[in-house]
Amino acid sequence: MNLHAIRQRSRGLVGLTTAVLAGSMLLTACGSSSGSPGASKTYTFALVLDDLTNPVELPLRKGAKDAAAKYGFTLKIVGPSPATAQQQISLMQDLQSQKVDGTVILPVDSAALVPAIDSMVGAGIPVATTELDAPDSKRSFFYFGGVTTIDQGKLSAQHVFNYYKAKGATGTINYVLTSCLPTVTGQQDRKKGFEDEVAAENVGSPFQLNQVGFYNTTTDPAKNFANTQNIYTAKGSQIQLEYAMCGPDTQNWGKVLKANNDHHILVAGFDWLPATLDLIEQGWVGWAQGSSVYSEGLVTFTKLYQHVAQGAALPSGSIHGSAIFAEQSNIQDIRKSPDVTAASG
Amino acid sequence: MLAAVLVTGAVFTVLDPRFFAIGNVGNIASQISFEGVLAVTMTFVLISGEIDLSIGSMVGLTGVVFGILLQTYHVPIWPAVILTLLSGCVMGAVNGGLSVLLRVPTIIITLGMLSAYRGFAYFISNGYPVENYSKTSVFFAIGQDRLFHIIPYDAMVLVVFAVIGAVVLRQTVIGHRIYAMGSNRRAAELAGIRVNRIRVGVLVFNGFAAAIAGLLVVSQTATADPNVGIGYELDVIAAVIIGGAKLTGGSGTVLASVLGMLLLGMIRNGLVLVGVSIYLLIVVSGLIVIVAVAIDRFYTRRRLVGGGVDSA
Repeated sequence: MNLHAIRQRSRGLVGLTTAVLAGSMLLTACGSSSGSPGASKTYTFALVLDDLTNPVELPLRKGAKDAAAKYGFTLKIVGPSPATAQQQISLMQDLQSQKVDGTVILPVDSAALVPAIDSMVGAGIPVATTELDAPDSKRSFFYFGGVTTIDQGKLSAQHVFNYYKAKGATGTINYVLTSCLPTVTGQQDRKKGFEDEVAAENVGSPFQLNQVGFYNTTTDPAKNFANTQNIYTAKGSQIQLEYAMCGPDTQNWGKVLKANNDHHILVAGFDWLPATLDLIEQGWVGWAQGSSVYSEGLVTFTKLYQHVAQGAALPSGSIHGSAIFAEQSNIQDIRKSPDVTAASG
Repeated sequence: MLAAVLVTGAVFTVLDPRFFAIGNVGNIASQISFEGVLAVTMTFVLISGEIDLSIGSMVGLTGVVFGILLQTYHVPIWPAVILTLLSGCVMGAVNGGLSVLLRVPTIIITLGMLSAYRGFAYFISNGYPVENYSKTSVFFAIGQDRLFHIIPYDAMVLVVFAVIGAVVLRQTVIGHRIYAMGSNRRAAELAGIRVNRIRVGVLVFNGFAAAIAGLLVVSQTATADPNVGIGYELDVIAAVIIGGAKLTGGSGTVLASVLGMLLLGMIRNGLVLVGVSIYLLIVVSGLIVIVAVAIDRFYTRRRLVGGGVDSA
């Protein structure tokens, strides 16, 4: 073996040793953070998000963290990115192995998550769902700070019809639908609710809403913006309404209309992202439907903790709040709500 | 490659004349700018016989680093830009350094770092988009404004970067060494080329480009989102392969790679304009990658059978 080869091998060994040492230190650090035997009972609850990076769920996390701070339990927040049912199932299995005291999950797929939820409940761990539901599972209860996803679509359609009725509209009003996650159950429900309500409201109406396109905008912020630009180029001159089923879509449609100084398209959107509220105030987005996502974190974990630690009965079935449309008339009140202040960090 | 771009452009223009409108051409140029920058340096990486799968995650992480420098540490915007570019270089150096030190192929190292960088972006941002900073700087005009309302500034960044990349690759000793290393690594070593130094160098350059792309995205969206960049590696490698580079190394040009990215951007834009189904769009994008790799394989086999040598 020549000197060069020995030196190369030595470098390799140094690198390998460094990696092993770093890994050991990491494991040691992780180990030291867990509770020691004999300490007083500390409850651990888990929040399984549908998408770890969805900014719309920041208030939900804040609500969960506030509940953890109030009751003194440990909160684990996990979730896939991007949103896949398979990753959520794996996370649920891991949490069951770790014997958490309770779990709140936002199931990506209402059917695919049923076995994982039922398995956890079977192991004696109470499970609640929020934001998205798995009604066929054995979860204890579903809490939603707004209305069901189907009703979100229906209410959006009703709001659109009320808007155009007030303006005395007649004739055909063309619209496009966009979704950043078109294969996710909640988005499909919003679409169905909207389309069904449009079909019902069109009957006997002096104007008719007519869908001329359905597009996937994707979750990547830059590509979402690019897709929105492309859709605007393709359909902008033909439509009067954009039903934006995602927060990023709502925001990017507002940005594109602002860039083109185009006031002839009404953006009926979702979610109270800070920039979206600015665009509503400036008149580029008509409204954004929202709900108290903050309460979803606060209420679900409060109920679970009170059950596990204090013996209170768990609720059952579905508990719903109401839909709120952020628009120019109420924008200042919306800005002061915990849902908005939490989202803006 | 240029013919493919022209034919594609002509087809889409016939199908929908708005495709060739100045505004839409500007949109396409702006939309490919950040991935185009990545295609420039990925060309260096593939020519050298390496690959970098972590590039999308580096875009996300560098963007978040920039956002945190502005929001948390209140660093002035241009020093923050420089620090972000340096952070990209460090990430590239980590990729290259680990590959050389551990003697593990870059495909394995960067596959691991794809996850590590993404996770780190989530960790330092706590999964939140970082956006609480002033957005009045001219920096944000780069991604949002156009020269004379026609030419997007971010597309100009791509053009300048591509010209620099092309000159380095074709006109300098370093560029020739990269081709030599990718064509025959053993021969390059015997000729005295320090291949490990080049491996690290091209990956550092790739990290630098990731930082530029991360900055362009923040400039466009005004938000440093840790979710940015997922899947970019696929787009970028596809563009470079479509441009004629080979996964086995030794071949490719910067111009062809940028044209490959332009082709992808035109197809994405054109398919939306002509009203292709949202799901079929994904199918078409995937098929283009398969066709491109199949062509690559065809030429590689032909070279092996014929014993010929590719011209760079």
